[in-house]
Amino acid sequence: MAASALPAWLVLQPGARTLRAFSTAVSLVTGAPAPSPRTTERTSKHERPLRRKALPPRTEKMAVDQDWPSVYPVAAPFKPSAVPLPIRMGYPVKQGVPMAKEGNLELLKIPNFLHLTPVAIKKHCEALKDFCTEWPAALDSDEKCEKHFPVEIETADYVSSGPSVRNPKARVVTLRKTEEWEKNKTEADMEEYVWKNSSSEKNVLETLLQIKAAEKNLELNKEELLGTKEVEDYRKSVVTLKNEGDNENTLSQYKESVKRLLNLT
Amino acid sequence: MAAAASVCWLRVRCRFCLPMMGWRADPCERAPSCSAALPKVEGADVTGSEEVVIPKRKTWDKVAVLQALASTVNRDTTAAPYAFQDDPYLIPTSSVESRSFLLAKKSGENAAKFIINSHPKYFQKDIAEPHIPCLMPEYFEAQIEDISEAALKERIKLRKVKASVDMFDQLLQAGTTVSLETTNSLLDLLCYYGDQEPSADYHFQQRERSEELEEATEENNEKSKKKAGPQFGVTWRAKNNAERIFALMPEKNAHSYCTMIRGMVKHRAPVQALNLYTELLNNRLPADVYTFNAVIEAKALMVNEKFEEKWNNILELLKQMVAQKVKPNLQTFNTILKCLRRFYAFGRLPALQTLREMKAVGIEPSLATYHYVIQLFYQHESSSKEAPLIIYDIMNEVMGKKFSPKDPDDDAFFQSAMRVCSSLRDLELAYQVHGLLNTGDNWKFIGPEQRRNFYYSKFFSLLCLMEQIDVTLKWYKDLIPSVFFPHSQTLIHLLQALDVASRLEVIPQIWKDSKEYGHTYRNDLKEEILMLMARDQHPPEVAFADCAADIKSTYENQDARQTAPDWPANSLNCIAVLFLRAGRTQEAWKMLGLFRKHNKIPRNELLNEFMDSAKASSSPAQAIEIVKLASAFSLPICEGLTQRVMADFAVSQEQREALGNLTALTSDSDSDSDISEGK
Repeated sequence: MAASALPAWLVLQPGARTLRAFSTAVSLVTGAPAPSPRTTERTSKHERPLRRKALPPRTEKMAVDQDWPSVYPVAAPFKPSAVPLPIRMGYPVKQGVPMAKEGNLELLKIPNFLHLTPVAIKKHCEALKDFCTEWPAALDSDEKCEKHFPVEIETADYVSSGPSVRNPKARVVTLRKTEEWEKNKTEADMEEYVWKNSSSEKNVLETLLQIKAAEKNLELNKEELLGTKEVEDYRKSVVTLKNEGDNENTLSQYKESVKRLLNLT
Repeated sequence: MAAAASVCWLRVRCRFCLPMMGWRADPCERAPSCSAALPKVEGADVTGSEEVVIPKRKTWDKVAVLQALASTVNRDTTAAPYAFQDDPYLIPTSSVESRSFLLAKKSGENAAKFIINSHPKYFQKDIAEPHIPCLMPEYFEAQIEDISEAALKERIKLRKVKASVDMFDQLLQAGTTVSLETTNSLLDLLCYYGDQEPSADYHFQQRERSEELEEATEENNEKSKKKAGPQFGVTWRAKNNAERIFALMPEKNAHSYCTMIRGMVKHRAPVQALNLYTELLNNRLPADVYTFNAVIEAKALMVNEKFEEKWNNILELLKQMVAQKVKPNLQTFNTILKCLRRFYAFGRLPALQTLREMKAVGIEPSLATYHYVIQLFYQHESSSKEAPLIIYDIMNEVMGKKFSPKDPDDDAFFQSAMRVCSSLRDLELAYQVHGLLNTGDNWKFIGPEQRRNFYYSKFFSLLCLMEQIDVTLKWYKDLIPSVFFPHSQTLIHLLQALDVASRLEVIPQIWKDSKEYGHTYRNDLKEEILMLMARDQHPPEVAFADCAADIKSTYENQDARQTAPDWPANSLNCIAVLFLRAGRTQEAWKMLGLFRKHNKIPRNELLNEFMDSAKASSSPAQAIEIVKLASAFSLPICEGLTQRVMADFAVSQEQREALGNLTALTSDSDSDSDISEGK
């Protein structure tokens, strides 16, 4: 009885699989006298309320010449029912094609720029023209900009979606008068001699301080020393000497100033 | 060369002339708005002495850029309103569904708010920058526990009616005097809420109640109004807490009287309100404009008075207002017009007088004003011999104006205007009204869903009736279903318009669309569609037959769900005819079986067509089937059919005999029926 109940394919199985065939035969036998659950299932299907059906995607209703920026006015996730393009994405299985757009997570993960088609950008630019003022006509090259406005101030704004509009990096403001590489300028590169902070200034101050200390004169104020007429003269003569080179005039000036400085006259 | 060219070009641009040589004149003396003076550089390429004019920086408010960008996009006509999830499974398919989806969303929000407010200690973390106050928990419990005036003030602020009254009583018992100001604010609270505790959805109910009250008054059923009293809204109970506290007050000022009057009128106790008003006058206290508005309403609510009397009372009040030098506001005139509505034809002249007075005082009418005027003049659809023309004056007045909300009834204007357009059958006017709706921010006045659906249904029906079919179809694509879900009646109007314009080939598309918004099981719509398709021979037979098969399957689905299936005879006839015309004979023959099953009588033309088809396929068996069916229903045409079968078909002997029997039976029953008819 059981054997006759077996379908033909089981009988044809090779001997090695008899164990499985046996077990399936058993299950068939036990399964046979219970058709009633299936019929009850069938009747309950009739009584079950019909499942809500999905509408056809609205791409079917879209006209070919519709206004696309109205469909995607802002950055929005990819909606397969709203994009009428047959896009496929994903690594295909063997002998297969990439997956279609419905329910495709890959298309959802990537950022899409459906809201910034060239048509949309043109429209946006037209609308934003009213907010802009004219570029000054005279500043038509970079050099002119540098020349007229050498000081640069750099600020950065950050936009991200989240509960907070603050971004600490936005507080960084850079004020720039010179280029970066100009910091590496050494004394040897200087075009002209500048007396301030130079070794000559240091020497003069040291010497004068030592003289004053020896005389037990307690005016040890650097600014006062710098402000005295002798030091001024000395400074002028050193600057002219270094800048203009050696000639009679400058050398004699230097001599006079040194003599006055050290009270030798 | 380039340098010379640049010099020339710069010279053209400069406001003063440069010498021909390459020297740069120092511009600083002449033009004040230039940049720093340029040092002279000899020999180098000449940059000219152009002045760098920095234009003034433009400023704009926070949302101006967004508004400018928003002006570049229009509405997407295939999309559902933005409040719904944009997914084919989650878009609502009928107005019932869209309402329930929105309510579900709102109920979720309310549930979340409830949880946050019940357990505020779990929701203290605030990471939003800048701070968003509405997301933080709210505290509704009174904090001050001792019996003091500050505690009373706090409870009044938290709108706790019963707690405030208890606190007041406790204060009086303890002997502390409550200041006049606090007592007045307590009276305000009690009069506003009518001595009832405000429920959570108080404001939502309030709106519905006032709408229903309006409809009750429009029906002019005094009984229903009285019945409506206890059901809708709060009525002023005699000797309630407000009156008690009012009586207890040692001194009353104008504010106390005014708020009591306003409370009484709001909760429909006009008699007491008027008595109190007389007391106010006797005490020579001034009333403010809101109180006058309330008293006007009270006068109009008085029953058992003639219209002229009521109008004279109102005029008296206005004169008193002038005497007390109280300036009327928009609400004054709107209240007058609202009351005049109940005076029917008598109210027309006073209404016009009111409008003129409004203009004279310089108050701009709001949409509610026009709404009341329209209601007053066009109350009954077919009342007057000629329809008043005031709607045209109104539309001329309001064209191009942008309104802002000033009166709670502002959103009823468009509905009543479109109703008038529809009854006058004036399409131009309807376009004007629609144009006004699309001006500026006026779209906000379209009102809640019912009003919006009514407006668009009327508009679209008018379009179907009066407009060219191409334009109508454009409107159809534009409005349905993204703006409103049409009733089956609206779609039937559209089908009739298609019929008039002989564009019946669009019908299958309309059927497909109407399935999407819940008309799958609307019998009247399906019958209309089938009838239009089957009436005459039409070229797109295949499309029609597909449509008919689809409708048939919906009937079958309906069968499966209902216990007593009911196929209309009309539909069966039409479906069968359409199948035959498209050449789907198999299915057509199956329909014959359905006739018998549902016990519906096939039409004579249908049987003739079947006979033609049987002849075309030369099958006598089929022909005999037809005769059997006809005899089963005892149709008079059975005779004619039998003869036809005998004549046109090659029938065998037994078939002839069978036919003969059938004819005999039917002729017997025919004679019986003849006798019974008493001819």
